Amino acid sequence: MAKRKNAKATDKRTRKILRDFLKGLLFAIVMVIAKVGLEHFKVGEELDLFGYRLIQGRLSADKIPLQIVDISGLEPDPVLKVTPRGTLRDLITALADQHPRAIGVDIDFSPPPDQYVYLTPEDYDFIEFCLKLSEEKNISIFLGVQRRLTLPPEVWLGSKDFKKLAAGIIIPEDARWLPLWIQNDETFQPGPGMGAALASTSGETRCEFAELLGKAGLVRKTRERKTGEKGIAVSEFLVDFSPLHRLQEDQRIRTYNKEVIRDQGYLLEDKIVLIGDATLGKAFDTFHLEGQTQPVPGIYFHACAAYTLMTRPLYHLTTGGRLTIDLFLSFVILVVILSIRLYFRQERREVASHRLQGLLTVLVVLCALVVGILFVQKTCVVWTDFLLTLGFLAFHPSLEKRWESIAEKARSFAPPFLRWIIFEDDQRKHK
Amino acid sequence: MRIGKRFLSVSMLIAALGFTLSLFSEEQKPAGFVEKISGDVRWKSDKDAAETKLDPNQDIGRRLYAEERLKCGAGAVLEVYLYNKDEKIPCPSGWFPIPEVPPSYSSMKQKALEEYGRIGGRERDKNRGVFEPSDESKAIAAQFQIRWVPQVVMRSFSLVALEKTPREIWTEEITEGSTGVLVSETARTALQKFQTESGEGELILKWKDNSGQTGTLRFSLLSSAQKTEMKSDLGNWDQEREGILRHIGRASVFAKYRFFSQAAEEYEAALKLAPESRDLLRRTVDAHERTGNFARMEELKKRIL
Repeated sequence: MAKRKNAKATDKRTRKILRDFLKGLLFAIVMVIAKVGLEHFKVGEELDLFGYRLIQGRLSADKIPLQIVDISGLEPDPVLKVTPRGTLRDLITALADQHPRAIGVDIDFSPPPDQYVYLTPEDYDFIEFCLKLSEEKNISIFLGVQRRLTLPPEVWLGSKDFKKLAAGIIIPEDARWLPLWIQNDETFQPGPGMGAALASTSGETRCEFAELLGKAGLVRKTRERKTGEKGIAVSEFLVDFSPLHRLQEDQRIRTYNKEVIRDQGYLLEDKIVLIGDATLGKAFDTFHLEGQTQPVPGIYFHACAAYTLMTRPLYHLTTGGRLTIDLFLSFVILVVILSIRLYFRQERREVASHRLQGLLTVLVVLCALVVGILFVQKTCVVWTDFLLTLGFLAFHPSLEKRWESIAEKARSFAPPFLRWIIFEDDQRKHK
Repeated sequence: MRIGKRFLSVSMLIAALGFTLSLFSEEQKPAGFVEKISGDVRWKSDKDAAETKLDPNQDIGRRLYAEERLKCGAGAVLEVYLYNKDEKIPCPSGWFPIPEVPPSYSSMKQKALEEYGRIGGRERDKNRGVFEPSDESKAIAAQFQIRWVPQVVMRSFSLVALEKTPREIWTEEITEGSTGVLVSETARTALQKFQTESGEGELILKWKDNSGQTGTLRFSLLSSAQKTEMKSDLGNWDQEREGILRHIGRASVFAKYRFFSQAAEEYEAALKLAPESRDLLRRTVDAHERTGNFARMEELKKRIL
């Protein structure tokens, strides 16, 4: 008899434990939906940006196989109003003699989009010279393109003979993402961004952990989008800006003099070299970068983009990935509590599930911070909405408690109200 | 002469017919043909081919194909019909290839490209011409004005608000484009409205000059809190007696709040008091360079040398 009574009590407790687990799971789903909703408000966006800044701060640059040649001091030709092609030619020749891996020139050489002729009569010869030098020295040379990005890459630099030199130097409004390729019509081939073009000379680098998550559809290296009404399609990737400071300070040669290049050749061997305006105050193409107090000249964006693809590509969470993490973290806590409660279900004393939940939440938050943030260098996964996720997780126990007391009050209030709505006590009114 | 003219017209007609017929053939379709030549005009079939000088009579109506190259020397005239449009090539031109698609294809996508981003590299020094507001500077909506080097004759200005979907908030055609200054009440009203609606958003000033060159720069509006702060900071320097120190102090305040063109004016005022000072001269040159007023900058640089 006692045994049967015990078994009944255990069953009852088991059912309650399972019910509590399902309630907890349901509440976790509601919290995730609320969190996804909040992401679209200003506070969510600000937290995301803050998270991005924190993560960028955790990334550190190892060996930087890049060198900037800062030609801010080179004045434009006063008549043609362009960077003197003769000086550039000498500079590129001197650079090519130092056996760099690749040379990128952060200047727009494309003809105007609505014209056939180049900006200057010297441009065709200059571009042809770069092509010949590239073939002679077996070094990749990339020339910037902006004006003709709306046309197929075959004509970015005027002719398909020059296609392999062409690289887009556009920087989007959200400069944390740079273009891998740009395709302005489905019938055209995509053309590379400057950073991607430079990095292609080094072969693709992968991050094993992130690749694994990528196979499950949780993270991606790139994102594709279309801009504008008759849009152009772009594929973008997240840029690692950790080498920025060193590029600005240590890895910049301020010269347009070929003799200086020859003297400093040892700095350029086997490096990716980018030529352009790199001095703030002289460079006109400056952009705002999260976490930086001053605007940053565009050349550094292309340099960091090349660095990212060459050494450590960054992966972002897909929508599925974010939802999976959000649910997974709550699920882990619920499963542990469920297991403990089931294990001790025959005990007389009740398991302190709320206290357990609090402790486990702290533990999970700390682990998530360590893996997600402190180890971002190893994982390569940029989890920018971690503040929002962990915030919701941390408040989950107290919110659930509050919800339970509201639900309790609603239960006690609702039945009399419902009875009043449904049933009529005064029979005379019916008649 | 009459026979010559008739010969030319007939050649053009044959060329046009040939061009039209060839559109229906299976061979490579021509991109167009030569309409008019005089002077030194050269052609080559591809990058590595030998160049040929075109004959002003014999090569009228010559069909042109994609990837062929043309160039014209100083004083030459070259008019072509390419992709259903007449084109007058500016000479001297240097070699230029005939592209596989007409350049006009790009205009549909241009807006999409501008919405996506902007150049992250050096481009032609279009310069900017405009030095107030200057690039990455601030402006006060109620006091907004545009100043540019008078040597550049401006045709039109417009303001674009950089919101999630950029939108044009003001545009104006200029009748007197060489005055070097435009004070537009409609622009001020548009900016004040924008500031009320959007707070501290960024804006792009776009312009087009008489030669068809376009330019852009970005700036933002000073908030009322910042305006009060700036006024207070300027007030501190206004207590100094009139002199170089006061102007330099005011210049530093303007620079701090990103009013680069006003900072340059303060340096100019200081320079008037000490025209021989090399240090002041350098600072003034730097200040004008920051605004993009290269004309004045070059003028002052000569004094340093």
